Amino acid sequence: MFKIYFKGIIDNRYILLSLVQRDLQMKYRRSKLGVAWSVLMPLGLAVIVGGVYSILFSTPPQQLVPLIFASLNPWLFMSGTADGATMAYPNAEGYIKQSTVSAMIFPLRTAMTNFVTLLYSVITFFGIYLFMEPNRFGPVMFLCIPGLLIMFLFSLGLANMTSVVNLHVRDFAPLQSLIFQGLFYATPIIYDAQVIAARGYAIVYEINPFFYMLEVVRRPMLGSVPELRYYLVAIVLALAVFTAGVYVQVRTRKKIAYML
Amino acid sequence: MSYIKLENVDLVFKVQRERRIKDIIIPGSKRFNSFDRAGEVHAIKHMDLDIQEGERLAIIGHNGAGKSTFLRMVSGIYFPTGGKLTVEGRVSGMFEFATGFEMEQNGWDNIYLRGLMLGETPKEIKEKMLEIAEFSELGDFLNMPVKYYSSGMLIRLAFSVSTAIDPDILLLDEAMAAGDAAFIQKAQQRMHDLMQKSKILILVTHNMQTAIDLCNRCIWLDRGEILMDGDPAEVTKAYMDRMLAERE
Repeated sequence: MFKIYFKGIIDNRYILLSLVQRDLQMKYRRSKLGVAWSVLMPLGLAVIVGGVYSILFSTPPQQLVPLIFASLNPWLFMSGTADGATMAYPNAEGYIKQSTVSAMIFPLRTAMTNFVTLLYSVITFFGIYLFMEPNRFGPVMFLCIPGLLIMFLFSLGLANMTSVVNLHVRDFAPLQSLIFQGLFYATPIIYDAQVIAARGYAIVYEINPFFYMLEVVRRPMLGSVPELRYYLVAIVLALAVFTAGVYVQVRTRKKIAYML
Repeated sequence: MSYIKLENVDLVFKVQRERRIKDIIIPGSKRFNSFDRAGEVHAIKHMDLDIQEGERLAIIGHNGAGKSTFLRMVSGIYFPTGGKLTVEGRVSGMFEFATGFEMEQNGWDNIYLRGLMLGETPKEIKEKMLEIAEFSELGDFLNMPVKYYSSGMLIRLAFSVSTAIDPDILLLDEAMAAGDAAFIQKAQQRMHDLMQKSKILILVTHNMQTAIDLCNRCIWLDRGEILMDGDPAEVTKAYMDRMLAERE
């Protein structure tokens, strides 16, 4: 099963890379600032959300803005990939019905494009954080690299599944958006996990897969080491979701042209 | 050695019925749409066929006879739902014209991407880009996003790429139906050149003269079945006779 999947991807690697490159170029086409938006968008978001929350909860913004920045962008990557993948096949209808390119590359295209955007924002984060908290900088931050890989695997698994589910049930895309909206509040993104843990609702995030993905990425970004337990859970979850995604892709790959 | 072999091949499309909550709550609200049953379209029925190297096959038949589906099945876009299909050789095809383009990208980028889709490596396609551009005669238009192209220009572009890669098996769907006179002539010349390399050509056409001129074998498809298989002159004549008889 994995062999079929990876062969399909490797055989079409040039097309895949070329499409991802185009997606990135097209994203800010005709805008004056161009690719600078990839940096300005996450920064602006963190400042707005962080500003509002530090006023609401009277926390110092220096503390909250980095936390929100390091949480919000990985979150947007995961939800954006799952959301975007629902349109991966319909958007590629021309290619799928016109050429023999493997349909399996299109959810991966969505995931890769979003992942590059996430990497831009991570680099921005480090650039700014270096000025704000130079004393917290250390080699620990390199731990965000394995974290990002785990998160990528997890999100690709989601994309591989949502792309196919949405072909069968077209009501899935709006429903999923709603679920993500709900999860956005249930996941400690714009607040610290301790806030709800202190009120005895730790279970809300303990059972939330997205929480573990976030932890292994944002903790190292903020300069601390995530608990080993979080790593184990994140790795197991990512592998499970990825495997399920590959299974779905390999099973449906021959039927996709019929379903469009 | 290139060949195409079909053994009892079936291809069935499942037609999805569209049913919304509205249709359940308000019965009869779909009065004007009788197409609300989930059904199947049997596009290719138990087909047996052998195509050998050197054959130039024309496919004729009414709309909806399964001609385009046949081409797409051979190219590997639709997988047969039953039977066995063996295709040996590198396939290149042209099916619909305005699809498979990145509309926002310019002509050059589309040549590149289409070439990749046809199985070229980046290096191979880059070497052929100038030649493709020259053949298409699109000149400065290639620097423009293809969304500004006319349909004729898109066809030039698609045809130029599809025929530039030396396929073993070339599949064309009404390729020469559009484009201006000069280009049609050029395209025909290129097709002749390709055929000289003794590969397989399958051409779906509604133009009987094209079938006779370009092909050495012709099949007449009707509702997914082969009604007649043989010399293009004979098959097209039988087809035209039937058409005239039906009209009377």
